[in-house]
Amino acid sequence: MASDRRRDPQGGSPNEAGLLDRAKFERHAWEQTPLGARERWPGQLHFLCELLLCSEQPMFLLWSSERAFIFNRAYQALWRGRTLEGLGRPIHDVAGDNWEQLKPLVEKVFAGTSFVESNFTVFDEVENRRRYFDLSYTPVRGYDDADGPVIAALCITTDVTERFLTAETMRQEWEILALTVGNVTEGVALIERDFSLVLWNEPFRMHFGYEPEQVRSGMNAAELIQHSASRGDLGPGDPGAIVAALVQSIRETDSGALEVQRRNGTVLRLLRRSLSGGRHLLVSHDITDERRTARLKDELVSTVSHELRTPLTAISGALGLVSGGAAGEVSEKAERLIRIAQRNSERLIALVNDLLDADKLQSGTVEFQWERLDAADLLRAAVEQNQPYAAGTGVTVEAELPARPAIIRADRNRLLQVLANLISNAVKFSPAGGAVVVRLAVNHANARISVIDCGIGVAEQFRERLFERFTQHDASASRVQQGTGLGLAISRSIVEQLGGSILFEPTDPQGATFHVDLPLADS
Amino acid sequence: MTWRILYVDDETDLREVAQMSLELDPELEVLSCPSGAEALVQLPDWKPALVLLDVMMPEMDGPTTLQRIRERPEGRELPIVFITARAGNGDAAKLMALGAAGVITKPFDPMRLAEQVRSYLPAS
Repeated sequence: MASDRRRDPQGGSPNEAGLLDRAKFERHAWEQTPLGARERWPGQLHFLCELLLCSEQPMFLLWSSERAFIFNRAYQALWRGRTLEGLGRPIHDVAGDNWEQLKPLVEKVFAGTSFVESNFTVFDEVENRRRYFDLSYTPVRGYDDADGPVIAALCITTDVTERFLTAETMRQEWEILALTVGNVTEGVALIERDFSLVLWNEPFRMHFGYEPEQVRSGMNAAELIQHSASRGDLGPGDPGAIVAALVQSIRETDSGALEVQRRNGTVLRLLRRSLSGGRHLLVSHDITDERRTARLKDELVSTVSHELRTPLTAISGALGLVSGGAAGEVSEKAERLIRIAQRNSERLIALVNDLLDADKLQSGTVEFQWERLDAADLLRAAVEQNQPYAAGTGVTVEAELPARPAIIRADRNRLLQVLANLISNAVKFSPAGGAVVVRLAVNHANARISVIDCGIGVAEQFRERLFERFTQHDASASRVQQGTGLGLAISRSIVEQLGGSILFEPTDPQGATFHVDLPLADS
Repeated sequence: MTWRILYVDDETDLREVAQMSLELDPELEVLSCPSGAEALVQLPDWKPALVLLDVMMPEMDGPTTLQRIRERPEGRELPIVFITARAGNGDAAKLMALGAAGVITKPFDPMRLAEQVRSYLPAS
């Protein structure tokens, strides 16, 4: 029988007003129950009822062979949203649908056993959720008759909903964690504060080459480290010392990364992190293939570059000798053709160089020669270096420099390479008679180098791909703009590795401006 | 005065181009060899003032050839210049550390090669 909370006149806990109190208990029509009028109750029943009435702990009593149901106010309050009736009536009448669940418990306690029934569930209609109780059953025997028959059962109830739900949430979370860990390709192991292994996955076992029976839940993780060390998988040296050092490092440091090469050639990258509660998470990643591929790629790039440069050296050398007059006079037509061949062999050489450069910059294997430089000096040098090329196309290059020096920390040659690229691009896309301005400004903590042209500019749809590899602006119909398509990608790599940034801005009203921002050395 | 140069490279076409480039300078006299082993044979008779040595060669590579030349009495002080298609980041420094007098990168400018080589000659 459910009652509606909204009809509760007190507006407090449901049925607060209707809850049992001493007066109601005493006024109850006991004579209409198997217990009969109170005046004729045995003393022990009075005593037990007094205990119920005085207690704040939810409890109920089942009395005699009738299993007459007597509960207290606190127990009644547990049944929120329902009116608990049937005071003094046999429990099997009162329990209704719950009787099937209750019957074996009642029989068990009347057989003389005390026990706790955990996680007894009741649906709470007010909060619209299940609630969980621990029911502690105790058989009661007559006074001075400790070995006699059980005359009553006392049940003390504890609400364990919060505890149950917390445990349930933790169980579900653990299940999700175990499922996730079981489905990742990285090896994962979780080690408790006491160094016992609590969770691991198949890749973890495989990475270290442990047999299935060698890895057990709850085992000491140091035992596993010992297996690896004695096989020589953790490097040369005394296995005992290796284990001791590793265990100490795990205990004393929050996190760490380590690379180990096993005896069988497998290369593992290990990441370790300390978790709250003193636990440790270990993640292993098999990077054997990654390493092999990187090595093969390096060898390939190096070989290809050598194999390409050797014939290119012969071609450009032979052409150079002919055009330089070393082979005697050639006709004007032949000379024109030789210049075309020469120009294109130079272009191929530039492409091979740029490809190698881009590859090295991307893999981070370029060693920078850091030094303190005045950016103004560098700009002057860059302008001077690129003047002949600009003059050949009828474009002027001017430097606009501040009065004070702008000291930066950079690699001189690499930065000159960036500026040469930006200036030659600016010249290439400028009309004959045009001007390219190379400006240096100091703002806040940065030196800003700007290469400004008034050329054909950069089309809107092309701008966001500007710094990607093999991105080349469509050549205009009138001039063929040759390049490798790697210049801006290389420039960006260099500038970023120098700790700066490079960006594009359209020049007003026409043209392109590239800004290179580099941190000032003393800022 | 003429200077004798020993040029060592396994590439026939390159040997020819390099020899022609070097001999644009009338004071340079060039003998070219296809291998390090051949260079070691020619060394005592040719008595070069400088050896120009390719790095990547089959069988005996440039660094090994340099080492062998250094083991000879006539090669102990001889200026040896590497000429290489592999002069990336750090490569030149490694070659210099082997005891080379200099490193010239391929592709080279044929009209300037002689001038570059002359700069490594003792009297220059």
